[in-house]
This record gives sequence, C-alpha cells and structure tokens, in this order.
Amino acid sequence: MARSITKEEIKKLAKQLNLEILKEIGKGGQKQVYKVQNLASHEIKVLKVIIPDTELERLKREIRAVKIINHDNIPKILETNIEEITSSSQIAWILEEFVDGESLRIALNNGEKFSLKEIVVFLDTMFSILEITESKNIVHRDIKPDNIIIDNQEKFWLIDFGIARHLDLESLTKSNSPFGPCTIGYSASEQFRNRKKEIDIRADLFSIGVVCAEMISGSNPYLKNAKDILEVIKNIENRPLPLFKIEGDTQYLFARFIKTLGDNRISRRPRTVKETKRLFDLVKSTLKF
Amino acid sequence: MNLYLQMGHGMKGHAIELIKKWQEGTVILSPKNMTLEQMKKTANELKQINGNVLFDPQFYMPRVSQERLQQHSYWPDNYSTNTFFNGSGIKDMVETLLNEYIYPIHASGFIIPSLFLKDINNDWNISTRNIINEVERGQIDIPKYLTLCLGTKLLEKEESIHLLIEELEDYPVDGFYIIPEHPNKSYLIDNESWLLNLLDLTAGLKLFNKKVILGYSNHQFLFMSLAKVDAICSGIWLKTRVFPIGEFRDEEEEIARRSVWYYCPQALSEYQIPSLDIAHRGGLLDLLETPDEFASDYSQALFSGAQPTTVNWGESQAFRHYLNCLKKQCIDVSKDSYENTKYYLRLLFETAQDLSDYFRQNGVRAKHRDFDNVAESNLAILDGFDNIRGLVFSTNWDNL
Repeated sequence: MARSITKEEIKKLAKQLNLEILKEIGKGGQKQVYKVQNLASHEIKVLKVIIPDTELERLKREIRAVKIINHDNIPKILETNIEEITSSSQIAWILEEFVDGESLRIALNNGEKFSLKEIVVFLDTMFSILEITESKNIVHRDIKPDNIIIDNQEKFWLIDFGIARHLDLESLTKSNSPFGPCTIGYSASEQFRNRKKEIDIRADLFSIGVVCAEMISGSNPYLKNAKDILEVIKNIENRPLPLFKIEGDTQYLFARFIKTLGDNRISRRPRTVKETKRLFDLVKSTLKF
Repeated sequence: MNLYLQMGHGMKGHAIELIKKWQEGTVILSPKNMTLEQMKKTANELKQINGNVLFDPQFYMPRVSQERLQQHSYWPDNYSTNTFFNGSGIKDMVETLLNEYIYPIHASGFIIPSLFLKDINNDWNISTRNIINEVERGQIDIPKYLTLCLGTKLLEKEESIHLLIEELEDYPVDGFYIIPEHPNKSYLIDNESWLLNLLDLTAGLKLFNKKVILGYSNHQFLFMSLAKVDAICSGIWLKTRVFPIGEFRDEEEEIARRSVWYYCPQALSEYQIPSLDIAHRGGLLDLLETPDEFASDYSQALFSGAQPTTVNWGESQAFRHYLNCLKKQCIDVSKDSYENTKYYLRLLFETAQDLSDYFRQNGVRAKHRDFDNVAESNLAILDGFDNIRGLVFSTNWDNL
C-alpha cells in the first residue's frame, strides 16, 4: 500500500514554495488538499499533493482536464510541479485558485433549504460546465455535494476532476475491476458497474439529478435509510427517484426533469448536453419563481 | 406510423389487392411460405403497383425451423452454433442473401438475420456482432435493419431491456426489425410490464435515430405510435399477428380451425359473424358498422340490412377489411406532437373500451378478441410511458 505524505514533508514543501499551510481541507485516495497562503503576496490558494509514484497519472489528467475546460465556475490551476523533498522522496503538487465559500455538502448538513430559483441557477451552471466537458470528451464522474462549492456571492463551483474520464485516453481503471471509480450514491450504475463502453456525459447528468433531488428534499433518496453500500446499489438499480412536489413547478415538469436526469436507465436520460438544455429551457418556461 | 403487410400462407392476392387500393405499401416476404421464384414474381408484381418488399430470412431459430426454410439456398447445410458464427458460414449466408435474394427482388432494405434472444446473454452479442461485421464488409447501399427476435422473459424484465438497449447503441445499422414473443402466446396482451418494456425498448432505439419496425403485430400495438415506431407489421392469420415461437410451422393448423371474424375498428375488437346476428336482433348493428372514413367497402355487405350470417361474408373480405382498417388507424395515430398522439390514443382506447363493454352487455361478445380484456393495460402504459420518457419524447418529437 502506498504511503501518505507526512506533516514534515508538507511543511518542507510549503517552505520551498513560499507558502504557509492554513488548514487541511480534504483528503481522498492518495491525495491531500490544503488551504495555503502565499507568504509574499498573501493570496489564499489551494495546494493539492500526492506521492508521484502512486496516482501521478490521475493527477496529470486532473490538470489536463481543468486546463482544457477553462470555465469560470471551475477553480483555475495556477502552478504545478514535482518537488524533490529529500534525495529519496518526491511530491507532486498543484496550486489552485481558492474559492471562498462552503461546500454544498456542508450547506445540506446544516439543513439549508434551496429555493427553485437557486436550483435552477445550480443547473444552469452545471450544464454550462458540462457543455464544455462534453465537447472536450471529458466526464467528471464525481459530481456530488462535496465537490460543489457555493461561494460568498451564491455562485456554484465544480471542483475535483481527480477521477475524470478522458474518453480519448486509455482508461486508468482495469476493465475487470468490479467497481469503477465513483462515489456510490451519486454515480450511475453504468459507472459503478464499470461498463466503460457506455460511460459518457450521461453519467454526470445522473449525478446532477441526484444532487438536485438532495437539494430539493434535503437528503439523497438512494442513501436515505440504506444500511450499507449494497443496499444503496440496490436502491439505485431498482428504485427510481420520486416525483418531487416543488413550489413553483406548476406542471410537475421540473420534477419530471430531475427524475429524467437521475434515471438509472442510461437510455432514458438526455443523450447530450445540448438536448438537456433544450429540455431544461422548455421546463423553465413553465416555472413560477 | 405505417402498416407493413406480413406475408403468410395465401396472402399474395390480398397484398396485391390492398397495395393497389392504397397505391403504396410494403410487404415483408416470408421464405417459409414461398420459393425464391415465387418471391421474385410477387416482388415484381408489387413493384408495378408502387409496392415495396422486404425479405425476412427467418433465421431466428434455425434448429426448429421447418423443411421449406431449409431448402432455401442461404440456409446453411451444416448449421452448428460454434463453427457457423465464427467461420465462413456467416459470410456465405450474407453473400447468398444479398446476391440471390435481396438484390434480385429489389428489396427496399436488408433485414439482417439474428438468433432468437431468450434473455440477455453475451453469446448472442458475439454472434450478432459477427453477423454485423460481415454485413459491414459489403458495400450495401440500402438500409440495414437488424432482426431482434426477443423472448417473453427478456421483455418482462426492465433490467434486461436496458442492457439490450446499451448493447445496441453503437450497432452500425439503420434500424431494427423487432419480433416479440407474446406472453402465453396471447393474441391480445394484458401484461403491462411486457407492453411497457416493449414500448420502452423501441423508444430507446428511436432515440438512437434508428428506424424501428415491429413485426407480427395486431391492432393492440397501435400504442407503439407513442414511441414513434415507424411501422408495425400484420397479416391475415393469427400466426402473422402473433409471432408463433416454437410453432414456426405453416398456418395449416389454424386454417383447419378457420372461422371468420369481423374487425370493428372503433371497438378495437373482432366479432364472429353469429355474434353480429345478435347485434342485428338487438338493434346494435349500426354501432358495429365501420365508419365511412375507413372506406372499407369489404365490410359493406354485413351492414346491408340482412341478417349477417345470411350474406355469405367470407374470410377473404374479413382479412382485407382488417388490414385496410388497421392501415388507416396506423396513419391516424401518428400526430404532429407527442401530447396529441397520447391524447388521441387515450381517446381511441377509452372509446373502444366503452363500446366493447356496451356490446358485451348486450350479448355481442368478442371472446378472446375483445379489446375490453386489455383496455386498462393499454391505458396504463400510456401513463407509464409518459412518466419515464414523456419529457424527452415531447421535446424530441420532431427529430425522431
């Protein structure tokens, strides 16, 4: 098993990069994420680090994804490199734009309610991002409340392209892996079942549908009351999203739209973002805010 | 939605008569009922009256197929699943089909043979992909439709349907020719899961921008217009309206038990002629008469005022009347929007339900051909489909 980066190594790296570590803000796989401050400019940034011999290829792909997508609602990558910490250890790092706000996960855990208008803004933002990812043959594959930031201006940001699938590059997941990289509860079955042939933008549409369901109801319908991961999978594969009653959704079309996005059957979801937006425009015209 | 004629025993004369009347139409030729020479002759006659033909190789169940099919030149001499699908067997079959059948009869498309699919399995995927790869090697300039002969088990399971849709997504064909096995070999079907899954499957395929033709159908399948299916196929005998799985023999048995049924299009039900006598006696016959807009002069004699059983109304008129009415209904159910199609189908089914119920209460019974037996199922799937596909279909209707 690959080792984690020690606190001493992080401190050493920060010093080399002229940064002060403010706090650890995330940890996933072999990746560690910190809020940092540049000692010269005092700018706040995000530092992501990994041991290069563990998931370097994934990190490279994350950098590639963010750079080629280049969207206002995705934090920019400012600098990246592999640093020699000692003669025998290296750390790969990314310095990223910091978004001042809190994750949708925290907001939901705090019981925050989202109005129809806010959810529409969320969807508009996500579709605007997906329009670009689709055109660049990239699937995020990990859209979930933890990877969505709401900033101080109530703007939504999508972060962490760490397990993004580049459809024009070879998969990093072995085809015989029982589960593909994903977060169970937000991933469509074609993704967690690792049916790679079918992975495309529709996997992200599914996740967005589930996130919306959670923003509407306050909980993820697939995770709610599930005893274990197997029950979550069973829920996703056998229990469609409910049709939500939402104030302002005069014809239940918005509810139907969310249900369509979050439908476990891939062929029932819109096939492209263009089609999704066309549907959404039709739905929006029926809403009363 | 269009109606294609499904060829069966003794169908040629009816097909020619109807295509002449309609001034267009497509006939699916059946090699188990005809020799190559007969098919060439029929195709030629149909061409002259603006008809088209398709040729169904009927290779769904090669091991149980009847002798007459095996006499066709494309049929392999030594069929064996393992060697045939991996060796030169497929290549020879595809070449023979194209050069000796499809091109000489000027078929408007190539129905690509495939095996019966009882339930999802990878062997079927492999064998079908092998056939498609072989077809791809040829430069075929007519539309290619892959046969999907599907078992009841598969059609009853939503999961299987969606695995099949995923499998078919990137198949390089122009469309699919679906032959569904009916549950319990029923003519009319009340199994809502089966019906909705079939509709869901065709909807999935339509969203790939493929043409979908539903073989071996009857008037109950008018609901397929909700998924914008391109055509349903029907014929004169029950075995051309319900796929006779496991009994893929001639219609001889049915012919021996022949009885004449009058199709009442507004009730979507069929009545034997003695039942019409009861309607005549009870003063209900006018309600059973086919409305003028169907222009079905084939049934006029029954409503001339005389007792129906005395007018010598035979099966020939019954067959033509049925197909002529169904043709018009197929055209009528195709509306300019998803919402209008759904609304029209609801109206059609509710009217038929009311009428058939009223007839039955007055002693006029359609027995197992009574639409009332399945009306609730047909109505239920309209809403079921709307729930799962309505939004996408409503928005994409013009592009399908």
